[in-house]
Amino acid sequence: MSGLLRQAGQWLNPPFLISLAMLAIVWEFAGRSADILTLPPLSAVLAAFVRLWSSGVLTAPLLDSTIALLTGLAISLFVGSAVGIAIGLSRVADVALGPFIKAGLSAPMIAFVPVFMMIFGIGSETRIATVIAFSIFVVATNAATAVRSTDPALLEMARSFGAGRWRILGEIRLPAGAPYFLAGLRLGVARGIKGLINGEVLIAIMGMGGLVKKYGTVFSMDQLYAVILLIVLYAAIWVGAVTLLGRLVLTERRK
Amino acid sequence: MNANATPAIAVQDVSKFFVSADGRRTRALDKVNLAVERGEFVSIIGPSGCGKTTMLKMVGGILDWDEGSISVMGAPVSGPGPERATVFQSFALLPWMTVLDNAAFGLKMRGETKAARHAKARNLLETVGLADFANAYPGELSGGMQQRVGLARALAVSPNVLLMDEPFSAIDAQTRLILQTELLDVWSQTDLSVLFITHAMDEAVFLSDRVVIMGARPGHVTDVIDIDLPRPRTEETRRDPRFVELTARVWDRLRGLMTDERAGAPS
Repeated sequence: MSGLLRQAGQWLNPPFLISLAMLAIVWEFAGRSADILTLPPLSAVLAAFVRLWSSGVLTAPLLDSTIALLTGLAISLFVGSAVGIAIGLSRVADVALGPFIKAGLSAPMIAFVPVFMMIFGIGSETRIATVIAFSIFVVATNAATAVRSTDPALLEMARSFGAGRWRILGEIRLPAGAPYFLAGLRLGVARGIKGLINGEVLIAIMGMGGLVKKYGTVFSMDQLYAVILLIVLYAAIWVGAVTLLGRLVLTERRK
Repeated sequence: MNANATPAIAVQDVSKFFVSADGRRTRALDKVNLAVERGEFVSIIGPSGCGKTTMLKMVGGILDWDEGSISVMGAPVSGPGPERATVFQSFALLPWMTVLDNAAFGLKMRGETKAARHAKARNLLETVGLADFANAYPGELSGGMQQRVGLARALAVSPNVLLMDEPFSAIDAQTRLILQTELLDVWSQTDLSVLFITHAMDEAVFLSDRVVIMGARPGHVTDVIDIDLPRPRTEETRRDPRFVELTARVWDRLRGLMTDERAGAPS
């Protein structure tokens, strides 16, 4: 619990609150003074947010997007970790699959969304595929590093007590690599959310990205900003929660 | 000691080659012969690069050799085995496990139930004076305490042969002296045979029945010195003129190797 409070405290410190307040003030005045169509005042955006939220318009897309995100992430974690572990353990797997993982890590995955649309159609499968494409490579890379970076002294110790290859994986490599797995999870979640919104904006009819497209097309700027605000908060909360989970797991096991 | 029994460790004419990156074969160990009788405490000392740790790993079954034979308790070595346990220089404790689970790790690898291995591990933590730290994590302990856990983990599997790879070299000098005495206390209550690698001459003399001196390039046995100091050895032993004399003799031999090494080193 004290860890949770400290984590929350990081966001409630005076310098951050001051810069947040200044941003809000500049936004509000810029939106009021100039007659800029593309920048409504913050108060109007917040009003739109409250209006949308209480009318329930946001609830269905939020849930819908979350289910797609979790489905994609689950597949990424499962398959990405398995491939990463294989690459980390086996020279052959590394040579055979490593280049694809490296390419996938740096390639602009958004270019694949039209392909996914052709394959899966305008449906949830397309954005799930986008979530996977955005997140799976970073999960695999970190999983490979996790099992590869084990202290050789620990491996030698386990072997001397008769542990075989699989026992060493389960007892030594995986637990020793936990910080890397958690880093992969954190980066995977962040990239997965990017993929989710990217996919939804392109698909245009579902989830939070669909709302961005909908309000953007009709120049409903206050509602557009309200949805963008929601997406930024949504991503921050997810990444924060995973970071926190990682810290709790790691401090729990090595005081 | 049973004179009729085969030695606890028998190393015969063992050679080992390393292949360097440019494909050249270098002889790392040259026809090493070594025997540790049952219940005997033998140390290997030598300059760095003489292959003493390589030797220990081969006896432990985690490193192959190229020529010769190694057997432990009369059986040829073909991998790690339940009759051997190793104590490591870097302690090699698992930081995510409690002291108790670390001490029980070897038993876990041997498939013992949780209750059985915890009971044995608790016993050995008691033996090494760490009963109160069973639920602590290694990171909370001093180096000396961590190596006591390493010793408990090795003893927990009830080995016949204890292999110790410079176990006290990462520990401060005062604590090291205390651990040496504790190790002899524990050993004297068992019939363990010990092969102990060290680079500290006083440590080798204080602990051992025999000190094996190895030279480098390639690694080979140059001398074996019998340590006829009476047991049990105590703090008094360190002031015994015979202890001082034997330590000086080990140093004489080692110093000879160091000068040989300097003279023979490629410039």
